[in-house]
Amino acid sequence: MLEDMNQQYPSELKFNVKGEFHMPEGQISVKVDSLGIEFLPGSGGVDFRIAFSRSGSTLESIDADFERLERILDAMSFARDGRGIRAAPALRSAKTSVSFPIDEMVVERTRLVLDGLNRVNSSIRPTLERSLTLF
Amino acid sequence: MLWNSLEVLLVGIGEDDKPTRDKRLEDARTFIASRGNALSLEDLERLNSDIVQQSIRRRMIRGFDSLFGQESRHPISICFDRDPPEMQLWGIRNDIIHANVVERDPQQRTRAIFGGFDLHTVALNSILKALGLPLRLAWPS
Repeated sequence: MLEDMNQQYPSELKFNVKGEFHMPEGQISVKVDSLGIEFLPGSGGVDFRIAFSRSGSTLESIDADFERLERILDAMSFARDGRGIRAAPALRSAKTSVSFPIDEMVVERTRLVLDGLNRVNSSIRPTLERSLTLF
Repeated sequence: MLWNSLEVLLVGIGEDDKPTRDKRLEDARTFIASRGNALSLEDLERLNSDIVQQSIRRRMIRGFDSLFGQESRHPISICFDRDPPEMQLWGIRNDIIHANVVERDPQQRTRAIFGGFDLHTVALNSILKALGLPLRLAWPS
């Protein structure tokens, strides 16, 4: 299974994401270098997709990558005042809405949250991450 | 979920200032001595939940104090101490959990909805403060 995954997705993981995303007109993708992710337009019932750079090819690195992605999505949900975003392996999700888009402001707020997480005392960090997940 | 987010954060933060067994015993003795012969059932309940057992409420208050310092009076009041008492978030949370809120009653629904707005402010500001970021929302009265 690991070999299949490494063969099929050698450098990045792609997720179908349920959320609200606004793609500027004429743009085919939005790359957020500071977060290490790229938003791709969805098709059919998919809202949008995230391409996420892999850090290695071992099971441990996959675990770490998933954890990092979850942390980014939690931070992004927080930056959107609690409106959740979930990465899922499912092929279909809810229809697109632009009522509260992921725009530059949300990306900037997400980056601030992630920077803040990196700065806090390591003893309180897991608590803070759990609190963000529940927010 | 939002309340859980707040509770997890505050209990975790307040844990650093948790009073020792000796301190709790000393506080209990001081409290009992201050009441003398007027010690009531309510006093014993407070003694148990706030001093001896360190209830969730007490631990959350300690978390607010650690997190906000002097400014903690705002979120503490909103959650546990403000007038009218039925708008204290702790009471609203308990009523929801114990199924004492009837959704079809407009007054009760309004109470839960307004409480939800305030809870969002308290939880958002608490996480921002813990992250070292500026607060985004003004404290409700």
